[in-house]
Amino acid sequence: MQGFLYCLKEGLKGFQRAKLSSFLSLVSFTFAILLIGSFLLLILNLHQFINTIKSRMEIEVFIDNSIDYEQIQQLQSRIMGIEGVGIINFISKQKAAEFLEREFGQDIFTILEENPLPASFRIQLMKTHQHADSAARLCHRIQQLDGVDEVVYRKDILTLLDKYLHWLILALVFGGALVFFSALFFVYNTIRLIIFSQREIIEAMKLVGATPGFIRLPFLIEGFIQAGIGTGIALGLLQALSNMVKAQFPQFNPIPLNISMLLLVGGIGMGLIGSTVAIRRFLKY
Amino acid sequence: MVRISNVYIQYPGGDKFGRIHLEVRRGEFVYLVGPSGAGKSTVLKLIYMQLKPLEGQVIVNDFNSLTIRKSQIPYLRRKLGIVFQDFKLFNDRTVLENVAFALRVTGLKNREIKRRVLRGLGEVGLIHKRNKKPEELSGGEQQRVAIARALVNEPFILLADEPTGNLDRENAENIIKLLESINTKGTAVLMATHDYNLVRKRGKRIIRIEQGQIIE
Repeated sequence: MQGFLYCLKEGLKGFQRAKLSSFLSLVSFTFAILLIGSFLLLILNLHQFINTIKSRMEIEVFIDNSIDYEQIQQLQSRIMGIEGVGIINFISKQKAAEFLEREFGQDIFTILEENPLPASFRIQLMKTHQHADSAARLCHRIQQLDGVDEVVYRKDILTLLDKYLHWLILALVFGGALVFFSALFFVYNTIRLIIFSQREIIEAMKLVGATPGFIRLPFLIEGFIQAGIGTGIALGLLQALSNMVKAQFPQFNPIPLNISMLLLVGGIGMGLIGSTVAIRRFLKY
Repeated sequence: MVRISNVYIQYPGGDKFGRIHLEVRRGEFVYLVGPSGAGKSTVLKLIYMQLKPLEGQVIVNDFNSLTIRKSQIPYLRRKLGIVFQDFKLFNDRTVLENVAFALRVTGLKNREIKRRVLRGLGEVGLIHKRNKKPEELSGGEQQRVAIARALVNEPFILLADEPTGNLDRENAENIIKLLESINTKGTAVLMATHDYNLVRKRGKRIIRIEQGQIIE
């Protein structure tokens, strides 16, 4: 217990003793976590952006002018029975005219004697069916129903997303791995250099009979503290960055708390593992 | 005590080291003299088991190079005191902390550590400089701190590898006198030096080593 307390004290004192190397280590952790965190922010918001586009994709089903209200209700039930249909909204001829007026600022009846706009259904797809293939199948089935005049949707956007999304995911995974390993490499080399600069002290410790555990513990405690503070600073900077971007783009999402916690644990883990690996070669008897 | 029997080692470069026999008895003072590169440090490294012989064996009290496990080496070193030409002090700690470190590793209680550190620093005449950093001391003083650190664990033998190598004549003489005084209290001393003239008239056993061969 006395040995542990001594090591704990030594770990804390290490911060004062080697101010420059402690500062360098802290900066390296801040930089590494900032890099990984920024990348996560990018992925998170890109994911959110794609989901928003997909969820806003609507299929518009124009209804034949010749069918009556009862038939429209039957058509609605049949459409709702089709797999993949999420939310369905009925837009009456009157409502369509109101939309037009809102869009162009003019009442249709001041231009034309009667309302030429057809009634329609606006359909939002279920999350599982927000793909070009599913949408095409669904539209085809709706088109076959009696009372349907025309089915319209933004096929081009869905096709584009489907075509390039897996390349985007691949690029992000590759980029993420590159960022993660670069950060890891950077942090590990900083720790290695710092421990290398302490090799004579470690050698002297071995000569007076210190066990590997006794030598290692203060370095681990130092690594823990530096990683914790460095990661904390990085998370603070990420939050500030998120706030700045959010002020310009309100739909921007900051890093959620659970991801922040994961980054904190990951940063500290990097510090502990990096110190353990870097010191290992100097502890051989 | 310390016995090196029929030991043969080989350096990674391929330089051969002769078969060595050497014994240091309890409370003895032995000078190991030879030119640079003769193998003096190698002999000391064999004793504190930084080097393992290819053949033969090294016996240090209850520890035997044939049977010792790596995890036991720190415990062997706690029974030895080791002093080097370059002192190997921690420059980022005070004299007091440097000397205390050798006791911290053993898990002694704080009160006992303080008692032994003050006694050790008293023996080498440096209590008044206990709060100085090694860099603030002269070479001779730094070597005395290193000796105090080597002594506080009450070793049965003090191994000194060219302890006077970085010192002027006067300081070198003082360090030798200090080692001899320590020896009179029962601690064996094995001191390696290249300077035969420094030790030849001191009336102690001298072992000569040349090209890895012991010439008693």
